[in-house]
Amino acid sequence: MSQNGTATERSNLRVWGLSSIVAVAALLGVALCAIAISVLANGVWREVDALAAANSDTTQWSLAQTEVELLTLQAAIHATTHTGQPNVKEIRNRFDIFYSRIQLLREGQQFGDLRSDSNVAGNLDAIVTVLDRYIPKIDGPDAGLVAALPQLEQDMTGLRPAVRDFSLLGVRLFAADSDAQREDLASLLARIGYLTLVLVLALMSGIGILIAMFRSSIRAERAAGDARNRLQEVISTSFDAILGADIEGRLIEYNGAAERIFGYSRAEAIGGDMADLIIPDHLKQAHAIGMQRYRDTKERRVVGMGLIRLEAKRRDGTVFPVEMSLSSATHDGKEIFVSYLRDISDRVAAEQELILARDRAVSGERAKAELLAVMSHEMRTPLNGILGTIELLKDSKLTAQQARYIGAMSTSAGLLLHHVNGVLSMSRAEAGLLDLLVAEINPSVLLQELVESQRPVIEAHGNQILCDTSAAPDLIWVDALRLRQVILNLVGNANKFTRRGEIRLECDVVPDSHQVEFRVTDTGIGIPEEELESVFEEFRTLDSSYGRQAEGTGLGLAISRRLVRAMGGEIGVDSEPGAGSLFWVRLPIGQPQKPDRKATVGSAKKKLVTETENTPDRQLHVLLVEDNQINRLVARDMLQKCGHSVLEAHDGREGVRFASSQAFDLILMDISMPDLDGIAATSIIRDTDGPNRTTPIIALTAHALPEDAARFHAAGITSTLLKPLSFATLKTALAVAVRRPSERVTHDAEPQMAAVHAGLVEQLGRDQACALLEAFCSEAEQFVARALASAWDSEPLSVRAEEVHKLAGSAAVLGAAGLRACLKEIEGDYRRGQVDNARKSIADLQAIWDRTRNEIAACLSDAPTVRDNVRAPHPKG
Amino acid sequence: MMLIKRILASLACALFVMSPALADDLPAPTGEIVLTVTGKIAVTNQDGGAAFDLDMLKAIGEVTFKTSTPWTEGEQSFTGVPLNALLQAVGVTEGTLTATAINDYAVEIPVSDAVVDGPILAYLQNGNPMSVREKGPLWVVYPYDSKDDYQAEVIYSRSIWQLSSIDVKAK
Repeated sequence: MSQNGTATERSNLRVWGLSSIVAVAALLGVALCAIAISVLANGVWREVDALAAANSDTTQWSLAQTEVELLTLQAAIHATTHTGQPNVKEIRNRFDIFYSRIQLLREGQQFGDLRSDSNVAGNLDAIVTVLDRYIPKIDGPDAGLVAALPQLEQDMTGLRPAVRDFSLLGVRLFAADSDAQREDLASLLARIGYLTLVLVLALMSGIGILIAMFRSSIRAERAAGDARNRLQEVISTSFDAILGADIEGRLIEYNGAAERIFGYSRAEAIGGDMADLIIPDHLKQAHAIGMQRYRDTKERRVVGMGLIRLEAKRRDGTVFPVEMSLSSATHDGKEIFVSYLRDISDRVAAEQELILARDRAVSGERAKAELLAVMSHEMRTPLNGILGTIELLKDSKLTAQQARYIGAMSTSAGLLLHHVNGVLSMSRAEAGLLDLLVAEINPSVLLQELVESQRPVIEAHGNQILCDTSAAPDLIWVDALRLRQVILNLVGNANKFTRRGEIRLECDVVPDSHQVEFRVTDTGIGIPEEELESVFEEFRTLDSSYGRQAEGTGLGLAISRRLVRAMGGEIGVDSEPGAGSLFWVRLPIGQPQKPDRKATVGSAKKKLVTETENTPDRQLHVLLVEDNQINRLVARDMLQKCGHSVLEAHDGREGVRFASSQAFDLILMDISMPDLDGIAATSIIRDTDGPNRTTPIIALTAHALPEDAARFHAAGITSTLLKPLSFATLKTALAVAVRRPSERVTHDAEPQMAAVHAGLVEQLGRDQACALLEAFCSEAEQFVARALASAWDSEPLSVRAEEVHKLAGSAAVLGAAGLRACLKEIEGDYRRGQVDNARKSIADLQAIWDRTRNEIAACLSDAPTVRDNVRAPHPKG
Repeated sequence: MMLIKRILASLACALFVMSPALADDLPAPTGEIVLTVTGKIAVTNQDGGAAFDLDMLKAIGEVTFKTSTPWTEGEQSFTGVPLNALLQAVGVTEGTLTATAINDYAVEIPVSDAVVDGPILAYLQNGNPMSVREKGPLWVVYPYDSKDDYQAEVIYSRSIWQLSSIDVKAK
């Protein structure tokens, strides 16, 4: 039923309601009129009755007759006196009649009004007195009567005026009476007339209402019929099967679509049990339980719950997916269920295909990412060889021409490395592996540094670089490294496409937002409008009049965009071909981070691989574990050039064997090796009670993800070097590693703490760095107290090991090397179950901690003057 | 029902018509004649009519009832011969009576008025004979109070007093 239909019904209902009120009112009016009329009619009836009972005519006749009787009596007497033959009988008779008339006037009810006239009453009495005087004569002997006749005649004549008056008075009185009566009747009739008029009007309006109601009911009936037909049409043409079932689950409605979908004809289906016909065997029990529950409790689980996905069965027994919605209705006082079922076999099949396709695509993507990662790794390993060998060659005696060739090779290999790193960054960013290190920075400083570093390259192109940071915010909280990478890329691009022009760097706050905007504007060749959209796509290089640049992998802007997005920002470009381009980067300004010790310590852990260019004072005995021959060669030569002695192990097993037989100052450990890899080898070295348990182990790897670093650290690796090796990085790593105190090297790690603290101050700001130290201080204080208490020994070994491990990690990060070494030893003991060893170490703990605390105090009180060449290296290729 | 009533009525009529034939003649009046019935009557005691003295009337039947009348004050007791009994006595079953009074007042009374508990020819008022001065000696009185139909002008006009003769006419 359409909305419309319902509305019509409602308005019909309203009309019906209204008209029934009017009808009732009209009926009441009619009834009142009828009652009033009947009351009045009764009045009229009474009036008419009164007229019937009234006797004014006969009364007047009687009055007149009195006079007639008197005249008749006079005539009888007169005849007697004149003829001389008195007819006494006649006279007596006439006298009596007259007397009876007078008596009638005196006694009759109808003359009551008349008698109320005192004159009349007096006259009547006078007449009776006269008549009574003659009664003895009338009743006496004839002779006496005859003698009295003359006197009687005279007296009777005397009565005539009085009797005459009766008649006249009667006429007057009764005329007035009948006038009044007539008027009463007339007004009564008039009232009846008015009421009848009202009644007729009421009846007519009643009839009008009835006609209106009749018509409206016909209309409503017609509309309902139309709606029914429409509904029937909808049901029969519906694409969905529409089933009606009674409370027992027997089908009572079954449309054409249902015939098509289920295969039963309507005749077969109607009256059949749903459970037998269309419910698959595995759902029958649930169906029966559901129906029973509904019958028992009326609890709705499926009814009215919208679309649900189920399975149904066709006549041929095939089960197929359907989408069903179930509602209940009341029909003739009985509850029925109406369900709409849609065969969604096709859709489900399509969905599954889609899922399959998506899975294939995803796995394809993953394969691509893996390929890229593997390729970059595989390419970097030989590159390592090439670059290392070139470095070695550079130091050998060369002719000028050879030196030029070597320079060219070096440049080419460097570029190749750059490309490989680009691809690796890309695939990492794609795999969501970007690890953001948010820190507080001053954007002006960052830009100024960047300008200074780029100025030579830019001026080589005859360009000028300007930097306007007057509107820049003082501090922002971003990943400085990533930001630098992005801006560098944009500046590099600008320089690439500009000759004898100007490159401008600007930074300011985006109005009405918590965003900072960096802009790199150039006066170069610009970008055609149709290319603007695609400049950020991968492997996109724009043809330019300068030709394709050697370093254009086409990945720079794509990587920049990924980095910016990863930092929650946007990047965009505006350009005018021939006039120049403007690239902008918007980043959230961010906010100061709470000195969350763990997080920050964790971050610092990754960041603070401090390095120094100082060559170690003494010659080191180094174990080099590397399966790749070229890499081994390169590394060995580099180490030997630095004056160290090197023992080479060709794989992990050999490395472990060597490490167990003699002590080394340092172990360089390749990570990916067949059979026993670097991590496993390190674990063995650390966990066996050999001479190199505490020797620094530097990992060599072509790719290090943040989670790898944690894994390396957990295995006992001291620091990580990314391949390809360069002299500079190797030297630094060696210096740091051997200065990192181990138990064997030294417990006295005085300079370490200050250097690390200085690095922290530079990275995090003085306040945060100090907060970190203080947090560590209280953490360590608590731990030492706990470990020395007797309750400590009752903790499970694993818990103790874990706590020691955590503190050791923090100590390592903050450069508390002595403390860390001691803790690591304790942790190792716990892990091996050597509780007694651990207890001995714990006894030393207090003394070591006291020393460390003093160092910390010194750091906290000193101004951070020690720069110590500490800078953050680029941790990833 | 109507039909049955009619048949019964016809039967009754037949009986009434036959009975005077059996009784034949009325006795001749011995006292003063108070009423003469003439016209279409079945029973006579003089030439062309039936004359009644008071005793003869009393012999036909006597009924007493109380009623008020427009011509008297207060409820009155009337005693007299029922009109229907009188008409039976003279063998009248239908037609119209013309009743005439001593003073020549005359009025027509349909025979249909003569019913049981209907009008009487009263000769006693409150137990006393009525003289002419008291609307006597015979007065046709209906039991006015017994039903509304008797409180009508027509009935009042038929209530003839000082009645002296009745002439019977077939419709």
